[in-house]
Amino acid sequence: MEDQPLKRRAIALGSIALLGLSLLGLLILMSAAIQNSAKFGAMYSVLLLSNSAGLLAFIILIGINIRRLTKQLRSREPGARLTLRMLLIFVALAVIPVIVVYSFSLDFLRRGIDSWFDVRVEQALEDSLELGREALDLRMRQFLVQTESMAALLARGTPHRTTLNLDALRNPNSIIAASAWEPGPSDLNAMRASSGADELTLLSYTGDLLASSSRISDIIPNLPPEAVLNQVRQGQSYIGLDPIRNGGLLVRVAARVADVSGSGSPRILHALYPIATRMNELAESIEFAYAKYNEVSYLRDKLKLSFAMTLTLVLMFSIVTAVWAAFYSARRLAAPIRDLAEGTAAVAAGDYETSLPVKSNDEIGFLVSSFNDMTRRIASAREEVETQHEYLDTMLRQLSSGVVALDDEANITTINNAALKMLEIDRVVEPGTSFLAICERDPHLLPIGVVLRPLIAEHHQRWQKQVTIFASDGRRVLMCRGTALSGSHSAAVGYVIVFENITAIIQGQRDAAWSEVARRLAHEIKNPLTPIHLAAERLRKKYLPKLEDEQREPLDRLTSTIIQQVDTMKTMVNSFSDYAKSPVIDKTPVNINSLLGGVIELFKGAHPDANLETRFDEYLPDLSADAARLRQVFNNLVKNALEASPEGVNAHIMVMTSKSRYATADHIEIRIEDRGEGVPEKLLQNIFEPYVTNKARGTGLGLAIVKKIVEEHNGVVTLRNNEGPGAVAIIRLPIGKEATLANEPLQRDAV
Amino acid sequence: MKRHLNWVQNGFVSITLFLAIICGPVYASDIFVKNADTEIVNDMVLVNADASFDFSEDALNALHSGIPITIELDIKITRPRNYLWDPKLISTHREYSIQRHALSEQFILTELITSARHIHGSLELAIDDLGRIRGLPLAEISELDNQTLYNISLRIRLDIESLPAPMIPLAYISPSWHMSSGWYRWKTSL
Repeated sequence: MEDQPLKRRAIALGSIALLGLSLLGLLILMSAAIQNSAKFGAMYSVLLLSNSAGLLAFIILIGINIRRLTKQLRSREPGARLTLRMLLIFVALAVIPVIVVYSFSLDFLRRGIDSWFDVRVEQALEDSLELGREALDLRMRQFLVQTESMAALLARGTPHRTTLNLDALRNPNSIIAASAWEPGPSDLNAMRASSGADELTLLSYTGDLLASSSRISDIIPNLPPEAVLNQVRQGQSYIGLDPIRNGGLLVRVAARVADVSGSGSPRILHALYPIATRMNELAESIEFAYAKYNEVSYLRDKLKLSFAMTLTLVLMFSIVTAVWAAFYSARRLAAPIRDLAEGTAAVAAGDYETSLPVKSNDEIGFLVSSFNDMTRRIASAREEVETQHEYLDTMLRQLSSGVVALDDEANITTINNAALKMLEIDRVVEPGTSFLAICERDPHLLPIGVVLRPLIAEHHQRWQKQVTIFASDGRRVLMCRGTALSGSHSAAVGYVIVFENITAIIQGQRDAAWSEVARRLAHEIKNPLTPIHLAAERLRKKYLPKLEDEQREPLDRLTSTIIQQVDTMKTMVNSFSDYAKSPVIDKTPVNINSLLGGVIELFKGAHPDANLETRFDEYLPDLSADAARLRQVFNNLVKNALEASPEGVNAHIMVMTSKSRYATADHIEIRIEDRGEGVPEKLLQNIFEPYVTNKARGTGLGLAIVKKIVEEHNGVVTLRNNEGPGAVAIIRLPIGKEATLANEPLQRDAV
Repeated sequence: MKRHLNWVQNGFVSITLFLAIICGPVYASDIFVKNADTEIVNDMVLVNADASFDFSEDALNALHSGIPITIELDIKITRPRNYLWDPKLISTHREYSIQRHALSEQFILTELITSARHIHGSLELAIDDLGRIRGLPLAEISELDNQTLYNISLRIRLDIESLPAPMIPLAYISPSWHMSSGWYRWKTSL
């Protein structure tokens, strides 16, 4: 298959070489045609046209090449600029010397042609021609005298009138017969023989042939032109030189034969005399040289023009062949470099399979083979990287931690399945998507966005943050560890963020911590309380009856205070133990509305003046929860609301339930609003921590227990101040799958 | 759009110039055929014609400088028909050369095919002789049909190709060398 382009190229090259050689041959022929018109003159126009056509073909070829190169330059094809540069160099190298030689040749040519002509030579030729004429003139005058003598003789004699008979003329013997009149001085034959003339003809005054005698018997008489006859008729003898067919000269003489007897009209004697051979040769030589010189002299400017034209054609031929050769050479030289450039571009574009053919053994060939080695190595390195990438990918997939790799603009480069699950990103994440945009789009990821944005903006190298999000299964605490990836100039080129779900761990740790605290409290505080309590009672029992009235009263008061405070302490320790305990949650389907309704009714009984308003969503589904613990939550919150509200009819508590979708999960939202003074801002941050309270009395565990129970149900509780007076506590409890299904029996049946 | 118009304009100008160069010389008529007719002698159709020549100064200078000038004579017989072009039946071609002989100061008129020569003492006489065509055999009557009216065309022109090679390129582009009578036509029947 590779032979085909080679063969085609060889044919194209051969054709162009043939065209070039033909043009060269034609130019040589053209030059010969100018110098020797006789030989090639007839071909001159054809040669000129052929050369012009050949040149045109070359120019078209160059035009095509220029067009192709221009296109390549416009489309910024690799190697095009290099080709152009080499082309310009080659053309300059070839054309400048040729033009210099051309201009000098043209000048030499003009001077050379001018040097052919010389005034002295011209004068010498004129003189020799004149000399020749003079020499011939002398001889011609002799012939004239001789002819006029013969005419006088003829005028005296009476040769028989012979009419011109063409049939007779065609037969030479008959001419002789016709001209054979009676012998005597008037006999033309005798006259011709004695005068040395080649031909004697006697003509009538009107030009009719009367008689003729010729030395050469087989020719038709050479009759004089009408102008000669006219001259004779006017009474003047005619004498002139006649160039004959084979290059020689004849002397033509015509004289009037007077009609002496008066018996008829005058006649004309026409004679042709030969010139001596030597004289003929000399005359011919002079004539030839003079004619040639005259011709060349006349053609002087035209010759210059023709030679200049031929030289110009040669110049153009040289230039076009040089330009074409420059194109060819530049392209040949640039081809491997262009291949290399294309190969490099292909490698840059990611095609590492590129392999270039090594066409030569020179430095460029070495470069090409080095390039091939390089691409092979890059390809193998790339394979290795891909293997490693696959390994890393597999590893990331298997990791239970979520891993997100970001570039320097926080666009996702890699995200593993664990991260997608952990962050509950349910849509397809294309590489390049902004992670912060995802965090802003998905409400449940907003806390992550809030944490990440400043960290990325400030280019933190290493950080660790705990973020709580509200996922489909409820509250989820994520530990986010971020590390900046440094580039070659230690600037961050990206980040890797590892997410770990530490909800269970935190819960476990907290449970363990509080258990330990409870155990210690029980051991360290609760245990001494009993002996104190017992000792106080014993003191009362033993000494109270024995004391005087005035002493009994303080003892009674003091021991009562001790016993009361010890009881209070016991109650506190017990409630703390309750808080610290991690009881087994007994989940049953619970209707939140009913549960809340029961709690509200109890409070309505205890606080008849308070305005306890309820707005329940009647389509609320059942929730799988521990009813007793949730009741405690509602008790605490309603109690707090009432405590925060003003006394009497001004206490207005609003309790609302609703089902809504928050983040990715359906949940039940319970809002308990009061119109009290609200919570001081500085406490809001830690209001759910144990012993954080704004009340003068109380254990400080109420809201902590609320939070604990809500979190045990994977829910979230928040407390914030209303825009108006008071505060609102919002509890969001995720609706479990079973609860949802339980409330959609028709749908389940349908399934 | 503007570039396109420029191309059209350039093309139009080029074509016009080309046609002017090509067609101009064709219609130059420095040779006039004054009259031409045919006669039948001895079963031969002979042509007689009279033409006058108005040689340009360049041509006269060339002749006086000894450059031979060749004149071509073309005669053709065509049969008229109502469609396409008329078919050519018979044609004849003659060439005549006029050259000055310096030594004898004569002008030689040569019929190049038969080599018949006529020597004239002056150029005017030679040109007159050239323009006087008598008894030029064209066809035998057996080649023609006596029922048909034939078209006969005659043209006399200067043959540039016969000039010396250095003169040819200039002669082609110079109007003074483009001499042609055009086709002189007449009808005849046997």
